Amino acid sequence: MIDRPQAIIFDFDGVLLESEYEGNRLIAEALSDSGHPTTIDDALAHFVGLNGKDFAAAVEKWIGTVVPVNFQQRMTQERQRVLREGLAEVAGAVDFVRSLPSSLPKAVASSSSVQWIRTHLGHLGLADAFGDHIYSGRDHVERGKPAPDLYLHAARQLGVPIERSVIIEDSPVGVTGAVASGATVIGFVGGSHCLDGQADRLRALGVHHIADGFDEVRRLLGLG
Amino acid sequence: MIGAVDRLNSIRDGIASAARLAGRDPADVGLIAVSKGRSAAEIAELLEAGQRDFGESRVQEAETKWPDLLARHSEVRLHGIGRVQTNKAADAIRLFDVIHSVDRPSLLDTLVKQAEREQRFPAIYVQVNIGHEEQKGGCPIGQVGELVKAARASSLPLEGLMAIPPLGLEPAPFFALLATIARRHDVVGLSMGMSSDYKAAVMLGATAVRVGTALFEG
Repeated sequence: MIDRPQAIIFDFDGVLLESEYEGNRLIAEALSDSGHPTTIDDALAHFVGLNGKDFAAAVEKWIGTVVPVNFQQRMTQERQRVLREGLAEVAGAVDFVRSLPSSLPKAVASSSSVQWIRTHLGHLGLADAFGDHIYSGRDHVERGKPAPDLYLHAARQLGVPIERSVIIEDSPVGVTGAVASGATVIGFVGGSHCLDGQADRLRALGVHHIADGFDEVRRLLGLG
Repeated sequence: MIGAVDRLNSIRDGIASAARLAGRDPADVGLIAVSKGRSAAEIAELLEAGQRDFGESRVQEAETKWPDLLARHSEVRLHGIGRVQTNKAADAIRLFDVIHSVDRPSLLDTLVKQAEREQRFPAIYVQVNIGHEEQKGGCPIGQVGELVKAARASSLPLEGLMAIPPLGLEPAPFFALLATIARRHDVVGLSMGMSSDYKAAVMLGATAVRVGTALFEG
């Protein structure tokens, strides 16, 4: 069990929001429709955590040719649609956040934009759960994940020493920065996107605990 | 049995995937094969597999192993990664292409003098005592600025900062700290990360990783 944490910092996509799985489902669908059969597992194995030109390069490597012209366009449209319509929570996430004592400082620290996080928190019914403590690697720090800067910024804003904070992260990139920040890190493998072996991958990057769902997070934090 | 080519490819793949995850170009990360304690035959295997950067800790050991290998592979870059005694400075200058362990002004001065005498100017890293460990080499964090300034003013090209995190502690916070110190002093090169932790080091900005066990033993 983690000894009396003074703050909790959540990653967003893949920890509170089922966007990693949904995003890769859409990628698989769009690639398959453009003549490059791709399963969700293929997409999860090759594209999780990649953005921009790295993502484009990984797609090109996977399909063996240049990214189809309409693929990027379709991904942008899908992104706008899910922003309008919302996505599912990671199982148990909403109840967990709501059950936290209001006196326990908490924040979201994510590579997504503040607009993405706020809109989806609204869809999930958690619009006020974090107050102003929503921090984006794009908007609040010069160096996003895997640098530890975003978590350090979040802890500073919460007024809690980083070494007394707990970070819940699901991706190797996020975990690396979280561990580097000096916080206690829970590697979260409860999202639908987590493939076999993810817990071992996160352990190898130095996470202090692994949780396969929010019941385990609750137990680790001594919250019953 | 896994051969040298497979081990090398596996480490290179590990470096590339960690770099891509962090949005970095894998070409920005160099792999140094730490060959201290390895025989010339073991080193030759990696040379055959295409490895060109090697790291040695002790000048004396390197002097006995490398002249023959270098005669056959002149494109090799030999890195001095161990503590350099002042009385070995001349040998270090003659042997190494890069010296990763410049940790005090007196050593820098001696290396510069020997470099000018030999007209050979290896690149240098300033080694930082990142965990405040008394028994370990490295410049105290508070004195890095001064040593970097002196290195920049010298005839030896400054390649970056180097550090070895304390044993038994999670290394990532120390990698992140070294990256922060480097940024503070406008230094780009970061020599950090070894067999067990090079992926985290690459994600946190390493431009050179020093891998021994994983390359020679798999």
